[in-house]
Amino acid sequence: MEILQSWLVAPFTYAFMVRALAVSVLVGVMCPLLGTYVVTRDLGFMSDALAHSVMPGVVAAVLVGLHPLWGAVPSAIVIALLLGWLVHSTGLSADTTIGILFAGLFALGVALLPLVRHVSLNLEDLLLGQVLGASQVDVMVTAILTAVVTAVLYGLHSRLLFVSFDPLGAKVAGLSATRLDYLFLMLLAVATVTALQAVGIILVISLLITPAAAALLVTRTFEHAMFLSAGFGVSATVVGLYASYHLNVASGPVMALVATAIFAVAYAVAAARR
Amino acid sequence: MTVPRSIFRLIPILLIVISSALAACVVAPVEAPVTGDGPAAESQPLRIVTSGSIVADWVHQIGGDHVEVSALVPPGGDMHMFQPGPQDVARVADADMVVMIGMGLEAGWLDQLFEQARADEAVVISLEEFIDPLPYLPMGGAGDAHGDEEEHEDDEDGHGHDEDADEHHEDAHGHDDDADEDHGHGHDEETDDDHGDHEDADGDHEDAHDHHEHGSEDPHFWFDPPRVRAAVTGLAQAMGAADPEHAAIYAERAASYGLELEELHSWIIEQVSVLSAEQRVLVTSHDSFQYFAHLYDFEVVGTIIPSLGTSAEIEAQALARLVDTIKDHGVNAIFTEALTDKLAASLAQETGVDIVVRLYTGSLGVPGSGAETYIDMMRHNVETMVQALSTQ
Repeated sequence: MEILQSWLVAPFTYAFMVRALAVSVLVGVMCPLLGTYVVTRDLGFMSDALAHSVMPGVVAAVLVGLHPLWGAVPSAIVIALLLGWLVHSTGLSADTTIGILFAGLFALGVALLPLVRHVSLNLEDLLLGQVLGASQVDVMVTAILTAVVTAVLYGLHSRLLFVSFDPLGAKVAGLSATRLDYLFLMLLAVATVTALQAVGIILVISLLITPAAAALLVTRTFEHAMFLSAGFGVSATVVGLYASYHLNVASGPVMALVATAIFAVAYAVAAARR
Repeated sequence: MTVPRSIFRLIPILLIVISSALAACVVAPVEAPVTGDGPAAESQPLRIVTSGSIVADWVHQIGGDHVEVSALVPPGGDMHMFQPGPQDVARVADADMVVMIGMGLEAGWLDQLFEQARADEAVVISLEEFIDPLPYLPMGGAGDAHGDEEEHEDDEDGHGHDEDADEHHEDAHGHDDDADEDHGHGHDEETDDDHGDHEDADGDHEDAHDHHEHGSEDPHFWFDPPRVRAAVTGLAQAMGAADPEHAAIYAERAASYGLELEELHSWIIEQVSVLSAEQRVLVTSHDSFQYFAHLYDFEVVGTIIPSLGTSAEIEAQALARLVDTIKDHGVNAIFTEALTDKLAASLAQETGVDIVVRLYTGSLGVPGSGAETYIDMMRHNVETMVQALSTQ
């Protein structure tokens, strides 16, 4: 018993571990909540594409001496709007449009990278992030972001749901699907690139997609899935952080692996029920 | 939005998932966390964490059993690819002293780690404080670096250090003969006279941090044994300041290690003397050999990756220019690290250079590699280079 206790407590005698826990639990709630919509609407690769597509903006920000986030957030919003506009005006699928923007903008970012060589900007640093390096500011920014995302999703829930599952019906009912789509994409974009800074791309994508997918497998209603996916998200981050401490492995990947394991179990449960 | 009763059916599933994951972790081997609450010996060893394995070896040479040293990036690891685990971060948080190379080498995540250590009031030593660095000139492509070496030396208006590589050079020649018998014992006094200007050892951390942003100084000074000697001397003083009880021992061990470094220096001079001036050209995977070239009269005619990082994309033009340079200079060996093997191989094919040799550049070798210490690493590198370059 004593061993278990020290096993549970020891990691959090360090301030950086407490900050890491706070940030990852927050992201573990926020991403799966968004993720339930993301998975339902087949926007799974949106966040990965975004993380790469904001590169030119990041390079520009660093070039004029600003924090990368000042480049990442505005360009994420612009890209989200551009994406929505392209889908609506061309009739191409979201998937195709994401592919076009992702490749083009990421390539532009890589081509521009030599411009900022003197400040040693590493691609890996931008994409991998480091939950263990989360600062006080990261914790606060993530907390605010989580609150905003939760509030917006709660406030718009019924309309978002309507638009997501029955776009035509929503139109008939007089709901502007376009405006809601844009709003959701922007929310997703800002959440993705901000969380990215704190916890890295692997964890953001993993938490955005995997818990929601697992939850949708084992629940019957959308609301159940939202709650359960947030529960999965939090479990993945907490268990993952413990595991990563005791195995001394980088934390983001371990949390993502736990999320994957949860999905596997959910799949088994769903299969057993059939 | 109310929570329907049926949601509670899911709770057992969640519990099973969590507990099985926990169980998996408990079963896995648990390394004891490095915390300082062991039995209170009368003198606790000084706990030092270094960024890489080369610096860890220097700390070990100076501190022996009186220090507990560990490197964040293990032998064979790449600084640029380093992904720390929580216990690595914890080691830094627990350390009495953290030693890094500085000058932008510990970029990104490592730098962030050391910022945290600084905030935790650990003594953070950046070895750049003790040496007189060469400027780092990004090579736009092959060939740009020719002939600039002479100016570098003069441009150095320095930071209050007046170390001079050439001075050491002479020095080393002078000690050539007796070095063999001497090393490893006593003989501290005579080697110390030109290191008197290192009193400011831990005074200018802020300064050190500034350098990182600019990346204007070349961090790869470990290819220059006399500069390493200066760094080791300064490091020993800093360690002595942190652990006054053993300060004399550290100074003594640093001095005798200094003699070994001097011996290494003369050994290198002797080894490379078999190479003609035309043979002393280097093409390396990234630009880490300027100090070596400067000290031992080599010319780095090209580097495959133009920047310090290992991740920069290579411009097609730069690569094409490098191919031309290699042909122009009749280079017959390309020196590489594991990272860029593919590029080096295609470059070798393109230019007809048939020798691609792996050197230890950023870290010591793994156990059994014959490059487990700094001195062995340098000997291995020099032997490999001389052999490759003298093959015609």
